[in-house]
Amino acid sequence: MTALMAGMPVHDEERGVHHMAEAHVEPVIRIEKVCFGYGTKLVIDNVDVDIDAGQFVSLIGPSGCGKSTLLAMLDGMASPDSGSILVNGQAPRPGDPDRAMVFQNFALMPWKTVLSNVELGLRYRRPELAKKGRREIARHFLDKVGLSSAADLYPHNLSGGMQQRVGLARAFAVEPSIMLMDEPFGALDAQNAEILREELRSLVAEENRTIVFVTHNLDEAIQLSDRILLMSAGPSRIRDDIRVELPEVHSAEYVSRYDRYREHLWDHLRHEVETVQQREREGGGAS
Amino acid sequence: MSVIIQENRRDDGTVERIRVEPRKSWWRRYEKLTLPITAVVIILVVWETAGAFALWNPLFFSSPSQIFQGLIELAQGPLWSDLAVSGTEFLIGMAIALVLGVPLGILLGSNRRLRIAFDPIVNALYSTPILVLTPLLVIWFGLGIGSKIANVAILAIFPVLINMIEGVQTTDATLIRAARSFGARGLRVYGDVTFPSILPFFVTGLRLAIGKGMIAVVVGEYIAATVGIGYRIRSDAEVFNTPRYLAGVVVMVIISVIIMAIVKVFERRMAPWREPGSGRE
Repeated sequence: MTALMAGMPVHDEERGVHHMAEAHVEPVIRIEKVCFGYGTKLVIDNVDVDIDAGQFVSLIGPSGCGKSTLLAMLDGMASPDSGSILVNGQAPRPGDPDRAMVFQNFALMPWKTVLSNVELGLRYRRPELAKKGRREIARHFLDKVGLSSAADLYPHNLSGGMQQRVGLARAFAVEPSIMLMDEPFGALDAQNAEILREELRSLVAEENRTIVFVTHNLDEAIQLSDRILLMSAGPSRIRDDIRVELPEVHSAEYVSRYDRYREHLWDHLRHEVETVQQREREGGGAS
Repeated sequence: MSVIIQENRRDDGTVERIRVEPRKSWWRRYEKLTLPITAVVIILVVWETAGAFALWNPLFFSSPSQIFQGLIELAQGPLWSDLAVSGTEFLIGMAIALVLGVPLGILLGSNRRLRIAFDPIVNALYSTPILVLTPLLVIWFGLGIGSKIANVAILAIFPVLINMIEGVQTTDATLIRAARSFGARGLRVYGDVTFPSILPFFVTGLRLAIGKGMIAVVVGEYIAATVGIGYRIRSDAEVFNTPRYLAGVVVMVIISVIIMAIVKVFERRMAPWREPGSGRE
């Protein structure tokens, strides 16, 4: 690591840092020596990460590096080829009540109204609730993202930013202890993404949720996260593990720290992105 | 017909500008109706006038007024019993096509191996003009309604089948994943995601099947029958009763237009979230 980063708790694999050595409680998410691939291609190579309760963790890396695959595995949609994943002490299965997912392309049911979309998780996970109870909860969370007036519209009536608000409300409505977000603002224009980031920050600040956030946007990662995991070009490993500690937003200290995080991360990320480009130029078929 | 920008001075001294478009005449407001109706009227007038000058042998062609008389003759005669028989054949045949085609299509769409196995057969039969089988069906099912029902079912099943396969396959994988992620399991994934998302494909398949089914009825009756609208058209043509024969054709045109209009309304009602017309033609 560079001297620039002195004083910041930077961990990386080469130094063999013990992840979260300071933590005494059992981690909420435990990813142990996980390998995964398709066909003969290894996508995820021996990834080892623990995530503590209440952490906002970003996964960042070049496109196609396996970030989203890792997230899908945390959601139980795929099992590791080797190694193990434990979420709240158990191997995750699709639909577990402790998690909720936010998707890049929103994944709202186009034939359902905004309100019914927010109810989706409640219908499956809390069958004991009557329709009225479900509606009440859904309305409450729709209100939280400022969309009460759109309850009876269909998703195609809404802009991308509004649709992702519905996606967020749907995830918050099941009150998960863990939220998995797969580039949730990646499909939005820059201004809408900025506003939604601010809203997400205030939504998250209220409660002690663990969030795993996949992104390719460095600034987004630095602004939102407590911790950033930088993944290498495929087969992906954890290249860097950074704790983000930023002071008050409007202080001068904030700006200089922010820039140092950014510079440091970009150094690494650029190297990974260039590796991917190099492989493409050589036509090695690495995509 | 030009746009006017109107300036209104508010009480506080600021000026508000409003854009005013002149009101269109009713002719232009309803031009989607007025223009096609005008076209039809012009064609009919020219046609009728040409007929009055005896430009053709009445044995070979007819004029609108004569066809209209043929229509009245048909309506006072065999038309309604013909339509009842043809309609019965059509409805039973369509019902068979749907009852077999929908579940079979969903099965083939859901199971990759079955699809690989049967895809060539389905596509080959879909692109073959199966009407050539009509004589065979007459031998099997007789001159009565049985052979026409079989004809309709065989012709109408393929568009249904192919659109259901396509619909299941193009169901957005992220939506299925979202439903599972939020706790949907097994058949509920089908009921809550797959079925609604294949609805537009179903309607497209239905629309195409109706078109094919109507052809199947008429051709089936045309080739071998003793009653029905297809039989009537043929028998009038054979005795050179050209006005009545063309009146039969007009009846078919009217029925097609009405049915397709109903299907379009249905299409919009069933899937208001989606533009109509998705699916495989």
